[in-house]
Amino acid sequence: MEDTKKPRLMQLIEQHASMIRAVKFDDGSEFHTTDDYRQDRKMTDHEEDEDHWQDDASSFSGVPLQLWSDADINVKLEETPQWNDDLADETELSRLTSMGLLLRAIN
Amino acid sequence: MSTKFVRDWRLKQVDGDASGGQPTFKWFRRSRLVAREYACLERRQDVHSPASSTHVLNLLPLLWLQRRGDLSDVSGGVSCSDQVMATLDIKVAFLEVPQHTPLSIKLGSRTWVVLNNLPGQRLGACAWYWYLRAFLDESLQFEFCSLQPCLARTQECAILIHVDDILYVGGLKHWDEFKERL
Repeated sequence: MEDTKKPRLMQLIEQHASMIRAVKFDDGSEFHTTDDYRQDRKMTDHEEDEDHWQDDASSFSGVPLQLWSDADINVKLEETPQWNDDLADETELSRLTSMGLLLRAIN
Repeated sequence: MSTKFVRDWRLKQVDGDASGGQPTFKWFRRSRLVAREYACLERRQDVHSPASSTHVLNLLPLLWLQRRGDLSDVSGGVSCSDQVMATLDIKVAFLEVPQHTPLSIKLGSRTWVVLNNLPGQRLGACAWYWYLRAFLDESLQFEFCSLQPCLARTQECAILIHVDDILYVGGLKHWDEFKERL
């Protein structure tokens, strides 16, 4: 091996060795991992863009056409007529009723 | 606790792009009925739910690798692909849980009975965990780990629960049955 390459090689070996951590289990077995345990993994970093309602295509089958808008998709819609909101509310009540979550009280 | 409608305009894909074409999006006016509870008004200790952690996340992938390795050693007609690691997301999970106490709400001139939990209820996560755990325990005979309550196992598989997501390691045939039962 060329002498000029040896320091660089040693440096890489040390660097890789420092990345590998041993995890011991109760039964005496030992595993090696490159995971970093110094801080907890962020379990919520996916939530910002997530649609919490988890609507899929089936959620929209049979909904009134009036709830859809052909407006420019690059512009956020602001004004909504009251009838449109009322219709959206009724659609939601129908959905929850069909799911068995809501029940209309007779009296 | 009270309820309200939360409305917004959402961009939704209205046709697929299976043919390689560009998907089409449209605005959709959506309303969702949610519960309204204020954490600042009442300190509660009964709303917490167990969660998975970084260290536990590695256990099931390790188990899967170990099982595949064992099968390779003793194959005997069993293929490594008989052992699978898979994930499952349970849709509208919180809404599957029955209300702890009957809830009556008035919307406009109509009265409704709310039978299951609504989004926004503070006990939602905790109630879901115990609902799912009871089902897995009673119907599928899962045994839960006493140290990490998000881990459970049967003779055929092991699972890790993170709210409404499940990581599964076990036999492929049993995975199909597991999915079907859930």
